[in-house]
Amino acid sequence: MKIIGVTGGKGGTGKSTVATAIAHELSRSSKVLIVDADVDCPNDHLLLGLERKELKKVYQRIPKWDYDKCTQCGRCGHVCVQKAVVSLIGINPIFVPSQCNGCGACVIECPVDAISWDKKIIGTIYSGRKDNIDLLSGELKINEPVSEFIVDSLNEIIEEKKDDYDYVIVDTAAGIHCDVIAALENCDIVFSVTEPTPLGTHDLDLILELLLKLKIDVNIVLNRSDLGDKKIVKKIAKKYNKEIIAEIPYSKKIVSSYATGKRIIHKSISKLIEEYIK
Amino acid sequence: MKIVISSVDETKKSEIDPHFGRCPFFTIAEVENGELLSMTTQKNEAAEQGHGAGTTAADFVANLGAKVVISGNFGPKAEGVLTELKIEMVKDEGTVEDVVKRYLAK
Repeated sequence: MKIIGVTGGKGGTGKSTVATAIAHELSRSSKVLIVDADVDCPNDHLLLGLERKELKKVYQRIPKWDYDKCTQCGRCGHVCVQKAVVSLIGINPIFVPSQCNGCGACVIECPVDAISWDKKIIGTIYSGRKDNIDLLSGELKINEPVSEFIVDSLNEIIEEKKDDYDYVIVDTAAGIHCDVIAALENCDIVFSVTEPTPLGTHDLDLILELLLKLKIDVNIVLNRSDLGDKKIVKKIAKKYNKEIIAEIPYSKKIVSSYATGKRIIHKSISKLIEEYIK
Repeated sequence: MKIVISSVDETKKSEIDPHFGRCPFFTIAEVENGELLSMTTQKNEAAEQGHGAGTTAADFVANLGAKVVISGNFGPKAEGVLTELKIEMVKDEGTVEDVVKRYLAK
């Protein structure tokens, strides 16, 4: 069993396109689970052309006040860095649940133990299946602050189910924030998908630095490789002693498959799987 | 009684800011029996905060002891907190001086 991460730093470079293309190719002879860890905006189900079903809700702990015990001292709001609690001396604290990240500072600070734990729904995990590919898809509820909690929940399910599969492909969000780190932390190998533009290169630099810090093996996949300036990507690759291991050209056939939710077939994907995954 | 106005600048000729939580300044108008006694300005520390600007600003005006806040608009979280605190919210536009006069003339 191997866990393969697909990331890239910049948004829109083709992470989901590459992740689903790898899933399709591998599923011809192996058991594959693809995990959509772009929980702010999951859309692998659209690329795979399948309908997701709800598997479970994801909860986060939040504080709850016992106003009979509360002395209205104002300390809970004072320690809330999220400003989810507004507490003035002499009035009951006002709590804004959607702003709370469950850190628990208020619970620790309360001198009379008037604060206990409650929970709120912060997202949903969906599952789906098509063409011999299983999908897990996490989705953060609108307005919730902590996307990595949804990714943590996905990681727990991966841990439970990974032995049923030959390959688990984790498709991360853009960026280098905590949700991306959580998605990458258990990966055996990572592919960083970028494009030959100043934006793609800039964000590739950031994600490669992150992966270096996480001590995770990474290879660079260059999408839309015949547009822009390949030299700037090579320069960043060299900085980290890496090479571009696959180049996917900007072709009408690929764009058309993408636009209509059909599987993407390209020799660079087959070669990448033969040389770096199997 | 204190009226707090979200303000673009530090003078009484300043336009009021359309955003409550992220306005750069708060003008604090001290009024008594329908008369404007004084106006002072304070920087809004919540303006550049990553998140929670609305609730931070609501906390700030509550601590000043404001009974009324005037702004172009109030975000949903700030509105929730200000409602709980029983602080009157007034939506208006124009200069700080004008909106205070308009409120007092009501």
